[in-house]
Amino acid sequence: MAGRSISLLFNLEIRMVRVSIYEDQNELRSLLELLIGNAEGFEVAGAYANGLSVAEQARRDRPDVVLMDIDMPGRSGIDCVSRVKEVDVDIRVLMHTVFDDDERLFACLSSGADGYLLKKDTSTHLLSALREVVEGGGPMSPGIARRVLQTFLHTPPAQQSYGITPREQELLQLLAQGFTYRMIGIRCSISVETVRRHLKNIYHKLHVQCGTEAVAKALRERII
Amino acid sequence: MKKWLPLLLVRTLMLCGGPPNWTFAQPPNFTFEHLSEKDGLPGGAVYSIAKDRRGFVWFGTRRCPARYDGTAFRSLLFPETYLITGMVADSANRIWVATDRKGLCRIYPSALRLKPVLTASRSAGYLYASASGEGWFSRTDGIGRVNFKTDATDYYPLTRTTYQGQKTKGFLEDKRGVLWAMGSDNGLFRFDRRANRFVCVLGRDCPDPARRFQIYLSQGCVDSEGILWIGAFGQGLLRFDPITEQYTFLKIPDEPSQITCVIEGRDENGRKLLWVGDERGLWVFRPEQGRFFHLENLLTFPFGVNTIFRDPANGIVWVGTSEGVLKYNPQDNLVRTVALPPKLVRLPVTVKVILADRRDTTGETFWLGLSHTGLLRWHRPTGQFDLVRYPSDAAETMWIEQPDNSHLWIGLRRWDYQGDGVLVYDPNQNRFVTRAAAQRAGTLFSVPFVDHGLIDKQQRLWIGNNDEGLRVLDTRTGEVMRYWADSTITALHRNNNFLTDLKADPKGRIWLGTYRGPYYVADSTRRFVNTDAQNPKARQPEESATNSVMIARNGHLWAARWGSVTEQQPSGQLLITLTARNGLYDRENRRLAEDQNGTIWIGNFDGLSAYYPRMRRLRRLTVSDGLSRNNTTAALYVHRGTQLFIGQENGLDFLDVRRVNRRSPLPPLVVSSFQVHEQERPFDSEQSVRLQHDDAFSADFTTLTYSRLPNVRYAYFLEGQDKGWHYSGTAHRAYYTNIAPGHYTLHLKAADSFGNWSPQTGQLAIDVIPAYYQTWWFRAFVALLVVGLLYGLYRYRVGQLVRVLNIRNRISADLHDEIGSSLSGINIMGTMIRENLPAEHPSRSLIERIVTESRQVSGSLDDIVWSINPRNDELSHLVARMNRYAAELFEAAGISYEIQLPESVDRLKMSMEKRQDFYLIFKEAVNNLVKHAGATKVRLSIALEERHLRLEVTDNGRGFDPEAVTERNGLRNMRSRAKRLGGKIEIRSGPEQGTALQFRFPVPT
Repeated sequence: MAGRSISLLFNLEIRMVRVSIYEDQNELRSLLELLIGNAEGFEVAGAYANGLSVAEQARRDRPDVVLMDIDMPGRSGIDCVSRVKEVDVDIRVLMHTVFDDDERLFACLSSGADGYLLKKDTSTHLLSALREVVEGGGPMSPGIARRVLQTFLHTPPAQQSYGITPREQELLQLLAQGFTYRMIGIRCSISVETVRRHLKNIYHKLHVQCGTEAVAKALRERII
Repeated sequence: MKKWLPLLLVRTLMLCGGPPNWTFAQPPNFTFEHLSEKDGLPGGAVYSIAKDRRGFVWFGTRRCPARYDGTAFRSLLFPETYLITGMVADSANRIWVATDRKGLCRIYPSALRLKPVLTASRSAGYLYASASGEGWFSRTDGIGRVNFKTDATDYYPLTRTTYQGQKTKGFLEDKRGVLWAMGSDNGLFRFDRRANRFVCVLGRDCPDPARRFQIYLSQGCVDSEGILWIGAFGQGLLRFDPITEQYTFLKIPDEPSQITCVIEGRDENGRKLLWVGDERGLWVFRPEQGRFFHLENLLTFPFGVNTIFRDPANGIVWVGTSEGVLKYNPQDNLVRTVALPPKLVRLPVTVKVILADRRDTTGETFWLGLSHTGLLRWHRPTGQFDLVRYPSDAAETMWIEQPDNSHLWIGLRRWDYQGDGVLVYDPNQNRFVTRAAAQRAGTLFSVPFVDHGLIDKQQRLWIGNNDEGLRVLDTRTGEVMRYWADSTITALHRNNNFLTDLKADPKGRIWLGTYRGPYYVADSTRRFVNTDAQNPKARQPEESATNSVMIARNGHLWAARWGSVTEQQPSGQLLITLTARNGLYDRENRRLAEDQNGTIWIGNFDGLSAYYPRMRRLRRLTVSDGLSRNNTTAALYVHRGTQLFIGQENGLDFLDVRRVNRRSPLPPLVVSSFQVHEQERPFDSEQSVRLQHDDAFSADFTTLTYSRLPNVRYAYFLEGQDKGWHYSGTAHRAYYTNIAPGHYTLHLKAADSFGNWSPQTGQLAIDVIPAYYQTWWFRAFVALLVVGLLYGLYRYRVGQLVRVLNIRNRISADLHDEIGSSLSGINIMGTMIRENLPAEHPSRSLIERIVTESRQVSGSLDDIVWSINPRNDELSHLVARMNRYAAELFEAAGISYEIQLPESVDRLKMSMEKRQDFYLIFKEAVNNLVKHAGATKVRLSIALEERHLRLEVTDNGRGFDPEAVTERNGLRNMRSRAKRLGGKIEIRSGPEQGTALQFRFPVPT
């Protein structure tokens, strides 16, 4: 396991982050292409208007990250997430949405998405969000945090082989109340980086908890 | 009175019919009742009478057939039939009617509708049903026959004559079953069934010249011996032996003998007689005497008889006349009334004493003591009265004794105050005779009023005067026996204690009735013993005043008193006290008599009562039962244990007590008509009547007694509706309305005047069909409809909400997809331009603004979309969003901050509009702070207190004058939003003092 992460870091050093873009609006898609293509360390692996053949495209393009719009004609972004994960569980998926619709976002996260980005923040946060996703945990909004918390709390204890720790639970509660990573860090006397790491774990556990069987299986094998 | 008036014998006859004769019987005193158009009969002339199987009597009148139930007529006016001369009921109880205009018709009893039988539409008459179920009827050209089952008819012509009417006047079947037809002028015919033709045996068409002569036959009958009796116009009554075919004519002497009908019947003694109708009225023919007796005074006007029908079931004789119907019901003759012949004595006169003449071994001669003038000898069978005049008309008969089977001792009240108070009459010599005791008796009182008297076994004459009391004489010597001192007698009758009665019991003990109750004379001491005094005061009758006493055969003392009748042991112990509660109608009880059954008959001022000691029941007879008057206080006399005589004014009533005890039970009740909403509704008594639920219905019911005694009482009970019987008295109509749907049975019963309820009840099934809105399926339907409507309404409302929601969602989705993406594009482009522009480029600030504005618009859009989402109604979502919003803003601006959040807002919900307002107030406050305050520290708190939500934003910035800045758009917006929320914004601030904004508004908890 240690070897793998070293090689991953090594790959980062020498390899560009390959990004596939799924966006049904042509103008925005081209802008995103432009933005990512011009950014240092990123290259566009593919840009598509819909996710109808997302699995083949993922297999062909071998992206590191998929930037996925939720509302797309033909096949929704939620559906696409699990298909991408079936191709390769290591492909990161960053949901790209206009507003933080908790339900749909949570559905995406449950299906295996690794994070999300609001479109109003695209210009400023896109590249950092892509990087964060590649590194592991993504950001989490209060609504999502509340849903995640509910998911873990409402699962019968017998099935909670991947239950959250009390620390993670505290963290989720603060997130649900709207606290930022920084505030949480101050409150819990930990660094923001630690908050992120916790969050990454939480994402993982969430995928296992309620992800599709394929995703869950892949992840379980990884964890073990 | 020393001079004897010559005895005056007056002979009279009750009913005319030749000179009086001791040896033959008169026609009985039949009581006929008259039914006419006044009673509802459709027309006066009645030509045919029949009885159907349910017991209704049908009359065929000149106008139409009519049904009679004893109280009302039902006429079947249409179709017009006219001259109904024949009616019979077939086995299915359909009434077949022979009519002049419509030929044979038929009535279905359930529907009560008259319909012609089409196959025989010619004029028909004199319908007769043979024992084999054929109908025979007359036509103007011969004889017709109808099969009641198939309606098939055939025809037997008779020789044409000048007579244009119906060719026959009726049909008969003799005991061998041979059918006979009475030709109007063709003669008497026998039906030869084998040859299938009519053979004339007598009259115009007879082949035997010896028997060929003109006769005009009318209706006839076959008597119990099989003899045919037929009316022969002008020749009297034809007696025809159907076997020997011998015949005789019996002519009514001195009469045209226009006999129209004859029927066999019985008189009140069960003797056979023939009822004969002719054009002058009704006759009785006594076959054994060969004599006709005309029944007089049946109607006050002349009438002719058209037909006679005798109901074999109850012996009722119905006579169809030219002036209505006459009815003789033997049941009604329970009490027979005998009127004294007028002109015999001065009227009014009351029969005060009744005594059977002991010389007449047949027991049919009676002595009637009158209230004035004299004494009558009455021979009941002949109705003959002989008057024995007293010396003075002013003598009132008080008592009669016949001690030696011959002489009568008669006690009198001499209202002329002179003469003997007691007379002795020798009926053998028809004269009064002298007896010392009798002559002496009247002189023992201050006036010759010998109110009471008896002769005991020792031949002593006991007499009494109301005021002066008791005296005793020896009948043989006339010697007065002074058993008591005068003072003793005076003491007994002091204070108006009148002596009211004097009786001796079989042992010879003497009993007195007085106003202080009954006394007896003690055997040895001859003391007067008051019987009431033998009882405790509480048990004694309310009023002791006794009008008469009687010693019953069991030795008990009965006393008729004011207000009660008592039975006492010989010792005086009271056994029974009968009062008004037991049914004694009037307080005046004056007479007592006992019949062979031990029944005590009580003469009351208002009715005759019979007390049955074994049943302990009191029955009351009134004029309704045939009494001539209700007052029965004059005289009661039981003869030979069975014949009860009642003295009346100008006559007397008598009855056989055995007939009272075994009156025939009432016939079953029938429903005579059924009305729905006062409209006649045909019904079949065998099937249930079907009604709609809101029908008001009434049923008329009656016992088909055809008795003139109206004392039948009725009760009805609608099973399924009523809890018990309704006792409707003499009313016989049941009326119901608003009966709920269901199955009902109307039960009916009737009681005779003695209160005997009929054992079997009449029944009529009634089904009330529910209205459509009362059926379960309709109710279920309505319930479903209501539920459906409510559900529909709910669905509609939900649908509306969903539609609104969908519109919202679509708008937000559109905003999201179109505008949001475009804004993102602008933002991205702005950012890219900004990255590529040199720092000092003049357009850089413009680009900066494009990026900021687009981000802000994007944020606002996000807010709107967020607040539209109903999932975000929970206050905790809002608080979290506010927290995040503030935190990100402060972190970006480098302001150190502290946020306090409420602990328990999870349950709180806010509507979209309120949420939006609150959020925007908050946003405005935070934005203003970040933009203008220049603060370095911020404290932000949201708290829930006392159903209010409190927002507090405090900074350490430069502050401002809240009064001066009210023109600012943002603040004004904040205040108007606060007002919408019902809250208030307070801003405490001053230059360099920081700002404290507090907003408080009510929230539902």
